[in-house]
Amino acid sequence: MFAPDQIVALLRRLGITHVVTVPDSTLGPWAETIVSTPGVRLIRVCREGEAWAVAGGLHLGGATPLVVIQCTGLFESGDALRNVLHDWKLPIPAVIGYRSYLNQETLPGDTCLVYTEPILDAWGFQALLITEPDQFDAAVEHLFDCRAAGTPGVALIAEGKA
Amino acid sequence: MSRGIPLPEALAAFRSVRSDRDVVVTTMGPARDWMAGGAPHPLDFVLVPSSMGQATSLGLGLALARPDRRVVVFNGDGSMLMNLGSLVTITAEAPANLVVVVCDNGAYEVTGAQPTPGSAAGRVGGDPIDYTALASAAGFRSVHRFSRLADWEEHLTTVLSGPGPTFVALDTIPVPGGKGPRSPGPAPDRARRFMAALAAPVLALAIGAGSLVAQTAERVTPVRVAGSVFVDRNGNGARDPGEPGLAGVAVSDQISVTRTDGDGRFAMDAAGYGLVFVAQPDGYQVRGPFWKAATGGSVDFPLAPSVAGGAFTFIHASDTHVSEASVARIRRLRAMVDSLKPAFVLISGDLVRDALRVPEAEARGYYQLFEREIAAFPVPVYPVPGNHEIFGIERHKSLISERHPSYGKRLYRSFFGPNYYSFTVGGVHFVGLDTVDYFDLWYFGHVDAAQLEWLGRDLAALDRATPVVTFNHIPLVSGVPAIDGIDEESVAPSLIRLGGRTQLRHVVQGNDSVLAVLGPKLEIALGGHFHRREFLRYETMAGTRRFAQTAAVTGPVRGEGPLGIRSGITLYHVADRRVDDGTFIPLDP
Repeated sequence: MFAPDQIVALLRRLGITHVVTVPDSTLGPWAETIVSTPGVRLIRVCREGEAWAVAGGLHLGGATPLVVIQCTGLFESGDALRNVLHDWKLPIPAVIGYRSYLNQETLPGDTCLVYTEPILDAWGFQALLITEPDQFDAAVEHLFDCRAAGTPGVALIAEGKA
Repeated sequence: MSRGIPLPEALAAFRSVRSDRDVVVTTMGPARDWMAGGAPHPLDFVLVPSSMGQATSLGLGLALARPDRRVVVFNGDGSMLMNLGSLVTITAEAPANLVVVVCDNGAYEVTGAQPTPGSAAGRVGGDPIDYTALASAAGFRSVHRFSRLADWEEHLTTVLSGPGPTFVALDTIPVPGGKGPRSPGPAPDRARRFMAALAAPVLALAIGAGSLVAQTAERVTPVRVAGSVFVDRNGNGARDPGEPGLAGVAVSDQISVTRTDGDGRFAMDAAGYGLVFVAQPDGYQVRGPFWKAATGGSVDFPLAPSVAGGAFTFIHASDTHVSEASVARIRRLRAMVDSLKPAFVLISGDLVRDALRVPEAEARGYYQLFEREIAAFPVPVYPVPGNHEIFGIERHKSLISERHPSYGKRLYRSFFGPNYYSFTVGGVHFVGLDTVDYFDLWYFGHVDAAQLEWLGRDLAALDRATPVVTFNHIPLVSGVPAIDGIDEESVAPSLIRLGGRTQLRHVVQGNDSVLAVLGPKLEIALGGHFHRREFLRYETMAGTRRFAQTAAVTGPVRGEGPLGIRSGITLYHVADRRVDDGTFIPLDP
């Protein structure tokens, strides 16, 4: 869905040093671009809750991490992100895939559509939903602005399949 | 399996061998007893409040961000069970500097000591989980288990210094009724203090004035070079029959200084940093670069007569911070040069946007851009490096290895030659100094011993009447730190620990050694770094001493701070070997 140069632009604009991720079918292909981007390290974690704590440690150590997960992983990682983002106030940006938003043929009635946005709201994320590749620049600027404001920002990427 | 180590004593044993540079992460029961066992350390990260299970993941992030620090995580067994996958994540990244210590008491102690599902009491078969087997299977490089305090104490130092990532299981004694850890204060404030402490430069080496520190590693094996300094009358760069050599011209490898003989010839074992340069003599201009790579064999320096006489002007500019986004600023400087027609331009560091914290391609891109821009200037440009020219040393951000061939000052030398050198114009000796030293991840104002000795040799041949103008990035003397105050939380904190003493980082430490070498010859000392024009005059027994910083080319455009500091340059007039106080010229209307 997104071109490699868009992903590189995101990493450069935010000065990302580490991408902490559990892949899904839309975001997983980003890995090839990320690992080939000089100065950016891809960290594959076993579950999404880990991603927030790893990113928190990176941030505390002076690095600039980005969490990249699917919305199902957002659901899984609630307590970890609560601690990192709200107890410790570490403004970790995230890219979150929004499963089934564009296409529910694989999972008709996917409850991700019911819970993703309310849960993002509940956790205090400033989320910007994008549904087209040409909206990507806006998502990048949204993450940049959120970090400048010291708030957790999310680029919510509409996905078409499970 | 016997359970025998009291947790407070296990932690006390570690505290007794902990390095001052170690980061220590504690959570749950270990956090409680760690806080009770001694005074807090700035590099303690007490993960309270926590998300149970995440201490190992947080420790992994810290270890990856700071590969120069050992990170020790004291975890509970209940917490470990909540995040067993982190053992796999850790070994996937393989941080050699991470030590995970699981304090295995078999119970959720703070909730009433109920057994964990990993303990014998919590399992139908009564078979406890072997955490060391899990760690070994995950791929930890060093795995240990201790059930007796004496063993832990005996092997602790070896365990901590072994190849990592390291996993340790300690069989600790549960304390039924033990309370949960109490937060030692607001978490966001503690996070900020921890980050500041971790970012603060703490140098373990004893660094005195003029001692040799970082650049020792950049020295090369000596090679024999020989050549001549001559008047290149036909401008072909080669010494042809009838083209005279110049006697008594200084040629240096940045360590020793040799003088050309009566025929302009020299020979030396170049033992510095892989290059040799000529100190451009009065009345001449070097054709092409004034420095050459010292790879052995012949090295010649062709000269052309110069038009600069006893009265001339020069521009002191600084902090151009060139990038594609800011290139218009250095072009504005060039337009100023076109208009003012100085004999030459000094640029005192922070030439490029940044090489400290960025990947190689980005750093080289900035260097190449600066190189292209100064090539378009109509007069000679003499740069010296600033802190932003040091390549890769903030390794937690640049992710550059210390073994990278362009690491540190090497990238600067590959583009612009010696990072300190001299030349003479109109009877005034100009010395470009490198006043930015570094150790580990941190730069600081300092002139190292090799440079200081070179300076003495460079000045030794000058007659008593020859005044010296120095130009460098971090100022030799400045009042700015007294005006701006101390900032401990910025990306470049104001203070640094040197040789056990806290000192200012953004002025040259040990400047008395530099000033002693310069002696009464010092006409004026020029600096940059602070992005503002500053002029200091001291009346001394040896006469007036002047120290002047110039403003930044990069900005600010509209005025900054309560004083409305603005971008600009300083134009100096020289007549009869005297340099005036300089005139500030804003770069913007």
